[in-house]
Amino acid sequence: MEFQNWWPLALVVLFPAIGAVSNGLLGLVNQRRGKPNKEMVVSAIALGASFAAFLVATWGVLALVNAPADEAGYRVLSYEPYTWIVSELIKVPIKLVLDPLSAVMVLVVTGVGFLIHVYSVGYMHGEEGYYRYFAYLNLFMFSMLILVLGGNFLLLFVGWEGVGLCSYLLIGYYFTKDFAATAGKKAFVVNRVGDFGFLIGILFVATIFGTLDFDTVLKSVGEHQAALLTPLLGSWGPTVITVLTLSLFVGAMGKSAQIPLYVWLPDAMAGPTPVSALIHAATMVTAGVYMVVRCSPLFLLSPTSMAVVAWIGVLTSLMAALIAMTQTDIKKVLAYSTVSQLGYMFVACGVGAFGAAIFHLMTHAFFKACLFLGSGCVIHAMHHAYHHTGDGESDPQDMRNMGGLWARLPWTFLAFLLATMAIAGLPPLSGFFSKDEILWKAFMPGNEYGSFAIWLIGWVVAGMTAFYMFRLLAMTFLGTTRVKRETFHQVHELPWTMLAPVLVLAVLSVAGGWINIPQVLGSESTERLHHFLEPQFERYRLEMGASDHGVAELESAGGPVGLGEVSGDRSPRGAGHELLATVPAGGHGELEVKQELSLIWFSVAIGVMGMVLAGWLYLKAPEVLELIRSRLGRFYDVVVNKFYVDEFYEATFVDGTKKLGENLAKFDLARIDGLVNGVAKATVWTSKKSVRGDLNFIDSAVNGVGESIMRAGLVLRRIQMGSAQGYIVVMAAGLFALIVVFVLL
Amino acid sequence: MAQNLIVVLPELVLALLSVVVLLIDIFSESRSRLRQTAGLAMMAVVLTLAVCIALWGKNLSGYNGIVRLDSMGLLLSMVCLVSAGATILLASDYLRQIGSEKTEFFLLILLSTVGMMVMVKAGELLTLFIGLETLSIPLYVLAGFRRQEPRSQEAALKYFLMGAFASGFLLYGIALTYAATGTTIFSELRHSTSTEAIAGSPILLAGLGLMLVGFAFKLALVPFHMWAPDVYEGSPTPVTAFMSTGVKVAAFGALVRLLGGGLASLQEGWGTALWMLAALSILFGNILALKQNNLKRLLAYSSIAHAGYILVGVVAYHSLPTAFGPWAVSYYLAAYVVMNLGAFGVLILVQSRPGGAEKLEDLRGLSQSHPLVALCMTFFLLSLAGMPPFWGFVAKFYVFGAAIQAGRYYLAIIGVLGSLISIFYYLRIIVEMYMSEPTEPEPKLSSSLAVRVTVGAAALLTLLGGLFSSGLADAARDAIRMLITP
Repeated sequence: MEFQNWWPLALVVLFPAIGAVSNGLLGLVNQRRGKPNKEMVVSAIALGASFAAFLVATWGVLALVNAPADEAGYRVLSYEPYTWIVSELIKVPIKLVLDPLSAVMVLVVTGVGFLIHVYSVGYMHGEEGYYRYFAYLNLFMFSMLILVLGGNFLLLFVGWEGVGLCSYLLIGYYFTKDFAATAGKKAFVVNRVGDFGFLIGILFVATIFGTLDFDTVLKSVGEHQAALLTPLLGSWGPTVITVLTLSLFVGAMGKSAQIPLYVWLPDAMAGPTPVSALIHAATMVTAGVYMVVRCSPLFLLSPTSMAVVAWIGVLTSLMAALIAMTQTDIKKVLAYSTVSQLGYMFVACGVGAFGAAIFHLMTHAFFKACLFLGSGCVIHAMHHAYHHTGDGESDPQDMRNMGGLWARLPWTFLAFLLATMAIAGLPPLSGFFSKDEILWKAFMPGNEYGSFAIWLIGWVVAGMTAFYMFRLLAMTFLGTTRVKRETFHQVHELPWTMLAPVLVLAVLSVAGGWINIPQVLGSESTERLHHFLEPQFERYRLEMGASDHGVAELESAGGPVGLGEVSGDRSPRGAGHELLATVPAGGHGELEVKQELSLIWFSVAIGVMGMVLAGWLYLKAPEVLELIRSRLGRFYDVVVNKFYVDEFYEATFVDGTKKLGENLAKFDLARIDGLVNGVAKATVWTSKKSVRGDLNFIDSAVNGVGESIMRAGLVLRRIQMGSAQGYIVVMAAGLFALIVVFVLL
Repeated sequence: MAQNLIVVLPELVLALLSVVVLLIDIFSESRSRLRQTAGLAMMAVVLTLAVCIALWGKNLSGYNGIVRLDSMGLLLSMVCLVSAGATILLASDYLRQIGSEKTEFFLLILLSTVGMMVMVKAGELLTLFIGLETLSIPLYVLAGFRRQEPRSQEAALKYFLMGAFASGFLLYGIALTYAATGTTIFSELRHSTSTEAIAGSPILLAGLGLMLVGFAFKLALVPFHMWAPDVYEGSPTPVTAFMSTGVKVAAFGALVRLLGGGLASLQEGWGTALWMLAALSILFGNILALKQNNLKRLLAYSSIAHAGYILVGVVAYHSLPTAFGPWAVSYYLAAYVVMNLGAFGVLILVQSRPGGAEKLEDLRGLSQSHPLVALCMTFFLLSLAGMPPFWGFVAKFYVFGAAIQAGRYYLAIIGVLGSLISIFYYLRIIVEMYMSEPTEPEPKLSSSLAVRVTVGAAALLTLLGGLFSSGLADAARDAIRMLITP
C-alpha cells in the first residue's frame, strides 16, 4: 500500500483557514457594531490555529516515519477528498501529499510560522487593523501549506498565487504610507512576470504528460525521455525539456527573487517586520527552491537548465552580497542577504545537490527568521525610545544611528550574535553545515553539474556574507553608541513574549544543522536529513532502459563518479542521479575525504576572515574604511545605488508599458481624425445634418418641442459623429483585413 | 405537430407570459406598480426556467430542423434566463433611483430574452437572424432608457447604428451562403459544404466572412469593438449587465452551432480568422482596460477580453468527437455570466449612494464602510482575473486546455499573458477598496434586499463553482455530448 489515505492531513490546512475566516468575520462584525476588537481574542484565535496546524503537522510527520514503506524505502501519506477539475484533457483532484520533502517544508512553515505568530502579538500590539493582520497571516499559512502539501502542479499554483496575494496585502499593510503601497505594487508586478513563466511551464507539463500529478509526472519522466529530449526547432534548438524547465524556473526566479526579478524583495521590507521574517525570509520566498527541488527529475534531464539555475543562483548571491555590504538600513541588509542566500539554494539545485538545497532552506529559515525578528526587536526598541524622547526625525532602522546597543538589549544581542555566526558559517552552527555542503557539492570532482568557478564565487560570497553580517552586528550592537544619550537610556529590552520566539529560533540556528552532519565529520548518526529525503529522490531515479541518445549521454556523464569508488551496491546506470540525489554513496574515496575536509577549512577560514575584517574596519579602524571607500570611488557609488537596476527597469519597462497603454488608449478613443478627415469632411457634415433631423424628430415626438432642441444639441455634441464614423472606418479596415486573411491563408 | 410545439415551448411560454405581464401592468392600479411588474416578470422567468428543466435531456428538432431542442440549447437558454432574472432583480431599485419608473423595462428584458433563447436553439440561418433581431430591438430601447441623460441617448443611438451595421453584414452573409449552397439549414449546410466544389466556392467564403463580421460586431471583438465601451458606459447599469452577459451567451451559442454544426468542414478558413480575432481581443481588451478610470468602461474592455477567451474555446472546436471546445465555451459562458453580473450588481449598489457615480474613486475605502460588499466584489474580480480557486480560474483552465488539445498552443499562451495583464486592472479596484481611506464618512448604500441577495448569491456561486467545479462540469459535458451525437 503505497499511498496511505490519511485524513488528518486536511486539518493541517484547515486550521489556519478557519483561523483566517473567523478572525476576518469577527473583525467585520465588530466593525459593523462599532466595537473595537479585543486583541486577546484575535491573537488567541490566530495562535491557536497556527499551533494546531503545527501539532497536526508533527503528528503527520511521525505518522509518515512509521508508515509502511515500499521496497525503495519511500513513504507517503496522502489525502484526496474529491476531484476538483475534470476535463477530457486532464483530471485534477484535490490531493494533499505528505512525503519526505513536503514533511520538511511543512514543519518549517508551521513551526517557524507559529513562532512568528507569537512574536507578532507583541510587535503588532496597538496597531490599527490588528485583526486584519492576523487574518492575513493565517491566510498566508493556509496558502503556504497548500503550496507545499499540494500533490499536483495546479494545487501548487493555487498556493503560489495565494501566498503572493497575502504577501502583497501584508507588504502594503501600512498602506497609508506611500512607499508601502508602491512596494506592494512592485512585488506584484515582478511576480506576474514570474507567474507567466510558471504557467507556461505548467501548460507544457499538462500537454506532454497528460496529467499534473507530481508523482505520475515525475515517474513517467523516464518514459517520455524521447519526447522531452527532442529539439524544438531543428537540431539546434533547445529541447522541450529545457524550455519546460526554464519556464518553471522563471516562476521560481520571480517568487524566490533571483536575477533579474529580485528587485521586489528589498522593497518588500516596507511591510511589518514579522512579515518580513515569515514571508520574505523563511517561507514564501523559498517556494521557488521548493518547486525546483520538487521537479528535480525534470531539471536533471536538461544540463542546460541545470547550468542556468546554478549560474543565476551564484551570480545573484554575489550581486546581492555586494549590495548588502553597503546598505545602512538594517532590514535592507537582511533583505539582500536573503536574496543572496536564496541564490545559494539555487546553486545547490543547479549542481544537483537538491537535498542540500532543502537543508540550507531549513537552516536559513531558522537563522534568517531569528535575524529578522531580532532586527524587529531593535527597530521596535529604537522606535519606542524615539517616541519617548519626542524625536520624530530619526530613522529607527538606520544603523548609522545605532551602535553599542548590546548593553541595552542583551538578550536580543545574544540571539542576534548566534544567528549571525550561523549565517556566517562558523562551526558548529547550522549555517556551517548547510553552506559547506553546497560548496562541496559544487566543487565535488565528478559532479558534471558542478564547476570550480561556481565553487570559487560561492566561496568568496561566503566571506562576504560573514563580512556584511558582522558589519551589521558591529554597527548595531557593538562599539560606542551613536544614539543620543537620552534616547539611549530609553531603549529597553522587549517583553518575553517577543524575546522567547527569538531565542527559540537562536537555539534552532545553533542546533538545526546537527541533523545533517556530513559523513566526513561524524562517526554516527550523520546525514539524517539526507537519509530521510533519500527515498524521495530515489523514487524518481531515471530508468535508463530506453534507447535514446540523450539517455546515453546522461549515462556516460553520470557514469562511475568521483575518484574514489562509487557505492558498490548501486548500479552505475543511476550513479549520475545518485550523486545528485545528494546522498554521497556508501564509501568515500580517501582523496575525496581529504578534499572535503580541506574545503571545510577553506570556508571556515574565509568566514573568520570576513568576520575579523568587518570587526576591525567598523570598530577599530574607521579611517581605513573611509580610505577604501574613496579608493573605490565610482564603483562604490554604483554598489550603494544597487547597480541602478531599479532605475533601469523604471526607465525601460515601466515607462515603456505606460507609453504603449496610453498610445493604444488614444487610438481606441477613435481620435483617428486624420483617417476620417482624409475620407471626406463633407460626409461627416451631411451625416450630422441628417442625424440632427432624426433626433429632432424623436425628441419632439416624445417630449414636445420646447427645450428639446437644446437637448438635442447637447446630445449631438456627445455623439461625436466623427468618432462613430471613425469606428466604422476601423471596422471596415477590420473586414478588409479579414478578407485578406481568408484569401491568403 | 406536438413535437414542434415542444421544441419551442420555453420561448412560447416566455413570450406568452410577457404579454400577460404587459396586460396586467396596463390595467394595474397598484401604487407599487414597479414592484408588482418586476415580481411578475421574475415569475415569468422562473416559470420558463422550470419549463427548461422539465425538458432537460430531450433531444428533438422541430419545424424541419430549423429549431433544435437539445441540451446545449437548454443549458444556454437557462443561462440567458438567469441573466435576465438577475437583471430584473438588479433593476427594480435602480429604476426608482434614477426616477424612471417605467414598467416596460421588464417587458423589454423578457422579450429580448425570448430572442436570445431562439438564437441559442436556432438550427437555421434565418431563424438565427430573427432571434438576433428579437434580441436586439428591445435592447436599443433599453440602452436609451434614461432618456433625460444625453449619454444614454448617445449609447442608444450608437448601439442602434452599430447593430444595424452588424445585421446588415450578417444578412448579406446569409444571402451569399444561401446563394452558394442553396440551403440555410445547418444540417444541410454541413452536407453540402462537404463537397469540394461548394466548399471552395468564393461566394461561400465571402458569405462566411460577412457572417463572421456580423458576429464580431455583436460580440464586440477587436477590431469591431469600438462601440462597446461607449454603449456600456452610457446605458443604464442593469442594461449594461444584461448586454454584457445575455447577448454574449446568445451570440456565442449561435456561433458554436453555426460553425461547429453547419460549417465544420470549412474549419480551416474560420479557424484562422477567429484565432486572430481572439488574440486581438484578448491583448487589446486587456491593455486598453489598464487605463480606464470609469468602472463601466473598464468592465466593457474586460468583457471584450473575455469574449476573446471564449472565442479561444470556439477556435478549439477542432475535433468534433471530443467536443471539448464547445463544452469549454458553454462552461466559460456560465461562469462569466455569474461573475460579471455580480460585478455589475456591486456597481449598482455603489451607484445607489447619494451622489455615487461609477468612477474608480467611488469604490475608495469600500472595505471599511461595507466590508461584505467589498468582499463580494473581490471574489468577482479575482474570478474574472482567473485567480484560483474561483470559478473563473477553472473556466479559463478549460478553455486554454481546449486550445492545447486542439494544438493551438500560441492561443493558450496569449490567453495566459492576457489574464496576467488583466490582474493589474482588477487589482486596482481591489486596492482602491481595501487600501485607501474612504473619501467621505460612511456613505450609505441602498439596502434593497433584491440587489443584495443577487450579489451575495453570485459571490457564493463564484466561490463554490470554483471549489466544486467537477459536478457542474459533468452536467455541462453531458449537455454537449448530446449536441455531438446527431
